[in-house]
Amino acid sequence: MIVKEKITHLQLGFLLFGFIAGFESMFLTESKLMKQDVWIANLFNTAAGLALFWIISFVQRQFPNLNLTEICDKLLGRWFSKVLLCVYLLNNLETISGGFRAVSMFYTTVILPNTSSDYLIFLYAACSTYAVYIGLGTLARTNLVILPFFLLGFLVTCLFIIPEIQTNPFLPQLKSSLPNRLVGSMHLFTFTFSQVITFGFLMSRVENMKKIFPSCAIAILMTNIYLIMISYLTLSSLGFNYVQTSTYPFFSTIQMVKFGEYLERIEVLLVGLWTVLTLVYVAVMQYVFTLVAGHVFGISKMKPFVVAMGLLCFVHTSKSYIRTADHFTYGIKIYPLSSLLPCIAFPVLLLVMTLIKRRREVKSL
Amino acid sequence: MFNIAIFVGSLCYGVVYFVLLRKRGKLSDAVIMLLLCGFIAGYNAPYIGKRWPTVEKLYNGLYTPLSRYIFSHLLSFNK
Amino acid sequence: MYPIDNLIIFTGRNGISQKRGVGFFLVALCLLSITGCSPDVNEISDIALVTAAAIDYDVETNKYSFSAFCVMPSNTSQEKASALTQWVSSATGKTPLDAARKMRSRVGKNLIFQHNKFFIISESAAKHSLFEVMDYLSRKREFRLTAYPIIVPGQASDKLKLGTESGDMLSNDLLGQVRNNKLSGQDVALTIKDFVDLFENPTRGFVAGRIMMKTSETNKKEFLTVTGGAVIYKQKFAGWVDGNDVLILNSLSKRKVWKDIEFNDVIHSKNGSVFSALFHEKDLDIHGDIQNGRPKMSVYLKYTASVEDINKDSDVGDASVISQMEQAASSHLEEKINKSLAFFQKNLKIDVLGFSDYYSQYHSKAWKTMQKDWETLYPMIPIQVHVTVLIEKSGMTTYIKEES
Repeated sequence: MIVKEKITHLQLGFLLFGFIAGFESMFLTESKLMKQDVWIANLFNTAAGLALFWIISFVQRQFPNLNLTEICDKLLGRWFSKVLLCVYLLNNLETISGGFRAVSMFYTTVILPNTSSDYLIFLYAACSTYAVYIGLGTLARTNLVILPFFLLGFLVTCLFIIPEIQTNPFLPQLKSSLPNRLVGSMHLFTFTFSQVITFGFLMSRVENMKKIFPSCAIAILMTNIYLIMISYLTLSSLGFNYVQTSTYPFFSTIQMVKFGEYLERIEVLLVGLWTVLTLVYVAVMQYVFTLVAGHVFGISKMKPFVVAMGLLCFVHTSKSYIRTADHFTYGIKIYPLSSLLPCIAFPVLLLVMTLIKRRREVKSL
Repeated sequence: MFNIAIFVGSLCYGVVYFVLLRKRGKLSDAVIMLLLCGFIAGYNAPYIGKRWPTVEKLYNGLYTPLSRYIFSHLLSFNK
Repeated sequence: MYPIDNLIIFTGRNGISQKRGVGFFLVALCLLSITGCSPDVNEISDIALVTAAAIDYDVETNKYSFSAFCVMPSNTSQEKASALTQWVSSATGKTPLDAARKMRSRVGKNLIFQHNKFFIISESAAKHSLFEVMDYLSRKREFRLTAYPIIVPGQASDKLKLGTESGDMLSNDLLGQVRNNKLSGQDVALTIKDFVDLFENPTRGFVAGRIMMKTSETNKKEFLTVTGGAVIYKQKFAGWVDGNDVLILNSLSKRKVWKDIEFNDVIHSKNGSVFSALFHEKDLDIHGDIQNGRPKMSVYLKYTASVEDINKDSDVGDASVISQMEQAASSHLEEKINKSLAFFQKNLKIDVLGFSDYYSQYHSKAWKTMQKDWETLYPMIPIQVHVTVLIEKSGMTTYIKEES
């Protein structure tokens, strides 16, 4: 962590894909709400994700020698910047806890009902803390190794789900209600590209800053294609009613896959891959949490704090979203609102301040 | 048992690194480490652990009225 | 200083020494052993597999009975590999969960449901308590979505005690029968996933699997056959459907259902010959229309056939003879389909074929007005059936000369 090695723009793009693709695919809440019209949520998600990413990469390019925390200090003043970064830290901790809890909830519901959630969260937190400790470069390279397996496993599974398709998932169009479309779109955006600000804090670590946006734009597009594919595959193979009934629709879909007559339970492999990719999601969040917290509190040597912050993430999670219902209700009704300030207003404010500063500099010349 | 282990472990970690960081001349880091580990220990402390603040509690308190207004009145959304 | 300390296995941005690599590998190996600490671990010697389960419901006492056909995997050298210990265990309770937990607590082994393929539900449970049963089956993580809920007339638990004609395990025999549906097309094999998906649809009914008792023709014993179907409508059992109607139902369902079915039938040709043919469905097109606010449907089916036997010397190598046979087969199948459709519309009066789904997808505007009156509209829908048969094959002989 002390030697801040650089990563390539491609590694950042792949990290962004792995960051989003793993986590959101399990719940497909927007598919439950919007059914055939889920493409609207994905279209909105693509547009909003690209726009938000462009904003952050534009701000970073104006200050190529500073990282985003230093840019905040420069644009907003030291204390106001600290306040906003603290709000971001709270959102980050909220997200990490939600991620840990989602994984432990999945395992205790589906696979290990008698195992304590705290043990599972502790194991997961220990792994992500180690990932933070060994550094961004190693994390990015590990993600590069895992992603091909994930994509291969996913594509093969899709091929075997195709014979299970029994409903046209595209008809009838535009029958979902406006509130469902709004809530579904906001929900998908909140759980995927609203966290693009997290990648903003990593942009200063990329070798070629000019290539960040094209590389990550492709990752955003590919992620949305992936999400659309699994949404419609799930709708067409499970049926519209069962998608709404099932707690984990995509998992239920892949439970139907069997090779030949007897080789079932392939879903275990995909669950393993999903767990690892969600670990990438949480590790990136925790890495940025550590970076930003170090800047906010003026910590000079971060190494001893990595374990402490990992421990904080673990204990905070063990006291948060204890009931499944708490987790789901919070995810639909509170999290989209609490993410507005740190994930959307904050980057927009940085953009506005950057433009104002540029105009002042031009005028002074 | 596990909770007590985390409670004691976090306090010990905080104290050990407080001493180490002080020895290295990093007083501010040492104080921050002690405070952080004390905060972490609070989550598993007897009696007060249940009332220790979490982001979920904070945001539920802050955003529930707004959420109720938006989802129930504005959007008439019920799930 | 050991030489291996200086070895770099691969140089990326961080060179990793072999010592660190070996250390990491050993730590990972130790971490793997942590899995043994989980309370969810099952010892192989403690488990028994449930291969079929039965749920009964007593209306008078308001109690459920859960029975399981358990198999103990044999792994001792003294026992023969083919002689697996099998038994049926049963218990009653206030809910299906209560009955199942009582049954599991009394059994001397840890029951594993992951291999359970069949849930046999009694007629009484299907009539009075199907929602509770299906909620239990779909909510429990141990029951796989791909298991088959099957309705049985009378009691369900005593069916588990019946032997099979082949002597094999009950679930293996039933699974074999489901697989052999491609020979007759008269079974329905609906998984829990499809059952629950259709269960929640308020405007249509559907047909689930049925098990009947049949006496063996070789000995006097009774055994179970998967044949016909049970109609479920508005989340309750609504009646039985026999095998011939189920064949038509399967033929008019999704491609996945009919693509492997090859059924046989006896056709009376116009020239007086009677022949048997094997029919394989090639294409299905269901088209619905709205005329004056009323629905109207057309069904187009294409079959390929092969002649299997004829009762007189007709030259099957002659195109005109084959053409006559094709026409006879088409008329026969159209009559058969119309008869079944009339049964579904006029007798059952339940939309088991899912025409409501068709209208809600392809005529969604009109469906908004039709939806509330669907129960009265459905029995009156005129359905035009067009069947085309193409006899591709006619066997190893052309004809046998008949004595005049």
